[in-house]
Amino acid sequence: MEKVGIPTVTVATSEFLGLSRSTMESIGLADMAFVEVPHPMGMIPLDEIRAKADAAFPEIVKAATQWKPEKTTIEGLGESPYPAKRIKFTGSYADLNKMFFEKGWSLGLPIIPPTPEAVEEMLKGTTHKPDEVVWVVPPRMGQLTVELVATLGVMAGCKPEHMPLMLAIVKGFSDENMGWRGTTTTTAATEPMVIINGPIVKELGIGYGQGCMGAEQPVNAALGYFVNLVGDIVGGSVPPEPDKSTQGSPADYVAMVLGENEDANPWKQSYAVEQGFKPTDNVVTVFTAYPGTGNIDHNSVKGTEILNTMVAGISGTASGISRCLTGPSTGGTGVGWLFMLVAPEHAATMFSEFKTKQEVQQYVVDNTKLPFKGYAPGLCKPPESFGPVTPDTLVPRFTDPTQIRIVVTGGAGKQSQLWGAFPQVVKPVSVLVEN
Amino acid sequence: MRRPQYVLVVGLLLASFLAGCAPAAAPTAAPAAPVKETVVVKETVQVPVSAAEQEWELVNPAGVRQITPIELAPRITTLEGKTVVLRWNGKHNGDNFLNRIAELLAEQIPTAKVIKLWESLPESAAIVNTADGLAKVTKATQDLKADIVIASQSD
Repeated sequence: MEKVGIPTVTVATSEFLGLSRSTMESIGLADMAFVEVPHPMGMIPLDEIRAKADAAFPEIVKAATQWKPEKTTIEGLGESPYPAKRIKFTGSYADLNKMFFEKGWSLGLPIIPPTPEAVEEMLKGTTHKPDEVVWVVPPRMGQLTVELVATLGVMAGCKPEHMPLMLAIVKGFSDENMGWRGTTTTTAATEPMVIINGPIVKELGIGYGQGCMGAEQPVNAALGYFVNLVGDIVGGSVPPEPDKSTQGSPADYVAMVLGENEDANPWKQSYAVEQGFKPTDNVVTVFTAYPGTGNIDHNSVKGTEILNTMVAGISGTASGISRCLTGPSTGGTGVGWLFMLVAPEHAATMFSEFKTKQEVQQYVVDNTKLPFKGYAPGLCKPPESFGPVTPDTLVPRFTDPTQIRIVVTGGAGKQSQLWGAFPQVVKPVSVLVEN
Repeated sequence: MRRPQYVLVVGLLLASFLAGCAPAAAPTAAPAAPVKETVVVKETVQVPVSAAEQEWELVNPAGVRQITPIELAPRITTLEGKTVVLRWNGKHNGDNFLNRIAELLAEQIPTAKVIKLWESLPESAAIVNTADGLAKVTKATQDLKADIVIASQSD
């Protein structure tokens, strides 16, 4: 608004003023008229929020009519992003790790030292020029050059042959449909998710079978670590400001990276092919999600039986934030996408009755329901055509089969995972991996 | 000792003797462990790299910031006769907060025209983060001829 000549006053709570100021600076303002109110504003009774408005009103009027900026310029701008500065340091490997953490250049886990030689070697894995800026990463708006992709890749334990994947992952997360700023500063424990399809999965040893989302998957782990190094170091999203994650999660260290188990996909249509890619294409799909929930069904024999236990889990994913009757493009206002990471055995059971993924998706949409009282107040407003609603009326969460995404992954066992996308994900983004 | 207890103790001793029990054996000295000759390691032990100081040259991973500065809008000095647009981002109670602000404006600055953006553009009651979405909110605000926007955010 300021940019188009309309002055603003922004009301923020004491706990969120830091994030507000960070956002302000990243959009190019050195100062703004803020009015601080005591935290919280949400989840308090009406009389309390009205009392906070009463108390803040004089300050709001003052900010609207008398405020003047204390700062007019943003410091530290105008430097060239390439080449990155070199640092001389004397100390042990442990000292180096300590120094990197203290300077905000690592997450606290050990890193592999990004020596110029190691970075140069990593750059051999791509045809992109090292000075190319591939992303200006919010909220800090750090310029991520190809050189820095290589640098962070070295630190995370990636290898030169991973460069095309790293660049594809960056391209995906930088897409505006991803809502990266929100996902990386939210109070929610959101997790960056990366799904990899194509021959590259086997060629590079990406985990797609037994325990693919767990430990002892060095390529998945290195790529996942790389994602968070990008977000926290170049993007600057660290707690407590501007990353407001209330509790955080292990995925703040290592993002979730998995390959699809295409051989075990009974529908013979991988996720990437479903999105319009060729089976021979190497494809990275990214989105961010609330912590997933497990489906641990050892008993279902029929397709409907396994799907019934799946929808029971899906109904409860991201509880509290879920809205009813969402559509596929509800960025910012509801969980619009749901990823079913289905174990091969569960997929086979589904396939015994549902011969296409579309049938599965439709069944999930038709049956994923919550009682009206299970939606947080104000988040479920069925249209009149839905009919009368009591607290126990079952109201669907989704309306469109394409909101349900199916990926077959993992090894033997009867375990699947259900991940609801962060609401600011306008849509999951799939990117072709290129050199 | 009273007589019944004396009889009981004597009885137990006799029963123990008949069952083959014996007093606990006195501890005997443990056999001496063979003494090993102390070996002094004389060869040089390689200190792991992780513990050794060394000179490092490293690439700074932070990256420099790219921010295009924008100018603040000209400020207003009074709300009298102005169009005040209230912007809610959909967070709980933000609308209730702004509703109260609207009431106070109506009471105290009755010449101000107050418009709740979320009523004229319902999709603005969200965290809008796409270029299209932001453009839509901006245009709607401009169309309302806003002199100032008061926004509520946070949790």
